[in-house]
Amino acid sequence: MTPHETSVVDCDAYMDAIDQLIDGELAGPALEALENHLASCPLCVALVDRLFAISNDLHALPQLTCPDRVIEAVRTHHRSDRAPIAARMGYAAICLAAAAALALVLFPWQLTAPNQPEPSSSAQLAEARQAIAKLSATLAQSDTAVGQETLRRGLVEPLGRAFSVVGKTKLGKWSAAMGVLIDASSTPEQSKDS
Amino acid sequence: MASSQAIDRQIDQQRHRVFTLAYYTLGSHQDAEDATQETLLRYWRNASRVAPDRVEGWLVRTTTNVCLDLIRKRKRSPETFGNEASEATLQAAASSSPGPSDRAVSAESRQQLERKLAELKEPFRSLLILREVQGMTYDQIADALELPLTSVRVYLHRGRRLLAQQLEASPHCSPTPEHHTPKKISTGGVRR
Ligand SMILES: [Zn+2]
Repeated sequence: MTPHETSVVDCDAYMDAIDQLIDGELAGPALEALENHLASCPLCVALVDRLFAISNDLHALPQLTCPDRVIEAVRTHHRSDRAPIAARMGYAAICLAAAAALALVLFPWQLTAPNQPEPSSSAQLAEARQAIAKLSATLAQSDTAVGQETLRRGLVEPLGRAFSVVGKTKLGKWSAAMGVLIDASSTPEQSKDS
Repeated sequence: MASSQAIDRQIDQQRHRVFTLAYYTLGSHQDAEDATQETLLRYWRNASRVAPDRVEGWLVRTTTNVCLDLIRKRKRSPETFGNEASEATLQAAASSSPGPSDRAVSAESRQQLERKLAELKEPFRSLLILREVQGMTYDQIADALELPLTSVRVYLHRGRRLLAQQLEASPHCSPTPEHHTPKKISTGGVRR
């Protein structure tokens, strides 16, 4: 059969075979049949050539190298993902939680044995400092500069100021101390340099 | 569950594949960096829920989704493919290029090919990149994109023809003639 005798209808019947040929999956009688068709059909030969060329050109495109800055950025983001336990809770929430925890440490006698005398303020402060250290350690598990800074500005520094206000830890002054805590917690920037 | 160090190692190993897929999908180095970063960060957040043998598929699927989101968000097709793009791949390919003159010619046709590839619609573009550029098997692609195997084949064949048409229609570029020999008939993949 000459090229002129090959009809488009004939060619259509070979389209799947051509795709399989490009995929490297054509074999046996089907391959033989396509080869016979190609021997008399320049249109299909041109198509096969073009598809092979596309496939090979795509294959020749280089695999690229991801810049190191991308993975560094991923690591940094991931660390700050883990860090903001404090940031997610918000300064006020953190400090309220801290204040509640410290109330248990500073004034346990008020909650458990109201008639017992108050312990000395230095002992309370030592206990309170231990409590802060524990709380800091727990919250700082995220271990990043952001997390540490959040804790320092949002929790440790406001609490430090609160202790100085509480003084001898009279209950009457405790509420004032709470106010200072919450004020400080809602304006963390101001606590930075104080 | 994989340790943090193990996940870090995984993303370090996979980042080049992710970046390559993102680059050829988006047609921009900067966008590809953004998409890679987002994909790897999502992986890190979800690593505990991804079975070890599904990591590659998960990354392919997520990269594709992140890229499509980026395209939608920026309301642009990857038509900004330009000199930056060809420079990036030219550099990457420089070591394997045969000589300066060949490299200049192939850089031009490669840029055109990249542009036309990035202009293809989904899923043709992703399938061509995964199969022809990244050498994944049909099974791996079907698995990664959660598509039936028959669809993968049909889309890939159609994508190849569409790309051929696009390149035919383009004034500067037709598929590189010296590549005509069927040197890349695949023998590696699992076939059904
Ligand atoms: Zn024909």
